[in-house]
Amino acid sequence: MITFGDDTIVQDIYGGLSGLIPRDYSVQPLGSLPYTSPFSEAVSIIPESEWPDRIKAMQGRFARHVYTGTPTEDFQNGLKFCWSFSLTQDVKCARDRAGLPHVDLLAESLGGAVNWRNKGNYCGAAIKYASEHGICDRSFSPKRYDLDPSTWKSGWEAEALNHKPLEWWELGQQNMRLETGTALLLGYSVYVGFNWASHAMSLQELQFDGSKFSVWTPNTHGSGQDWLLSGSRMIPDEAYVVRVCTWS
Amino acid sequence: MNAKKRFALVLCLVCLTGAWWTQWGPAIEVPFISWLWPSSKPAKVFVVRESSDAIKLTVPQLAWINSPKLAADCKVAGIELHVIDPDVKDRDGKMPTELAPVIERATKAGLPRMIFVGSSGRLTDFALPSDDASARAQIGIGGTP
Repeated sequence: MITFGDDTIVQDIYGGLSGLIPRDYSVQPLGSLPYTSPFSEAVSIIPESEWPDRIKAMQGRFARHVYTGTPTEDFQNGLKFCWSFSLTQDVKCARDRAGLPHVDLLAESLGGAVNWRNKGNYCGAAIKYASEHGICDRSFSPKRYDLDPSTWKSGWEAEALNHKPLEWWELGQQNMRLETGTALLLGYSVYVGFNWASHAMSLQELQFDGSKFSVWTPNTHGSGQDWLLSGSRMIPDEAYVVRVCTWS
Repeated sequence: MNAKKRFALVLCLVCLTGAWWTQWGPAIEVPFISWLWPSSKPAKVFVVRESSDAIKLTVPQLAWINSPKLAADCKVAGIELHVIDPDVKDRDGKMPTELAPVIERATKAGLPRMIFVGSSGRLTDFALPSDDASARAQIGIGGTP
């Protein structure tokens, strides 16, 4: 596990993947995406004073523990597709929460959002694209990390419609840190972008070590590459909760 | 008709009525008389709640509806456990046929609600259990949180 706190010097340890493009809120203001509403208008924020007790009560019950995806199937393998692989994790997590069967979804099938190039994207654009096109089952592309859909099995576009985020909340209207903690404590995973790391991730657990809070993500860099973020590093620049996905 | 035949006829009618009630009769959530008729384990259990109402649930309720252990124990007992939002849709943007009666029943009774679907499709609805132990008892599975 890799830890990041306020005193961590961020180095370009992943060779400049730059998978996350910062969302320009002047062009795409909060609440302007379809099928969304501000989290803080829908849900009362849980005060930080209650977090330690709630963390105790939620042990073994966070999104991390419900999630059935694996580091192998979620590995982005150098593609600048963190925005896609982590959103795919969140959609799978929403399926797990609903008790739907596990499906290994093909994160590459969101490549149409960047014209099938190996390019970065911002989370809001990714979630909007996924809600319109869906994410297909990995079995349609036997060769992993292939961004040429003409080589995939026919019918993948129709199958992808079975796996769409339908409704989601946007976080950050009031207080990004408190809203993120609240969503995690309610059992949701949170799809986030960290501009300092140029990286998108799925946050799945809130932790407390007696002195500081941290958020945990399985990350999409393979086995053993999960991150634990604390201090200012745990506050996303962009964050969403997929609350409903397609029933399939 | 002699007394024996009358007795047999009445017995038959009672049995048939009981069978009908068990299969299609209305669910009655009255613990002190519930032993009067047999109940089988549900085939599916649905927790229907508004996503935004998660904050209104108590911490023990939140803990059990998010419990992978409880879900796994249900699975071992042959029961599907689903936690759903009434806004859920299928790929065509319609309410899934399978869920329509469940959501209708839950919404009518008032959310959040726990709905049992029997193997015959019979629905029974309950208030959301207060914690893991109550949920296990209500669903009819053993085990510990």
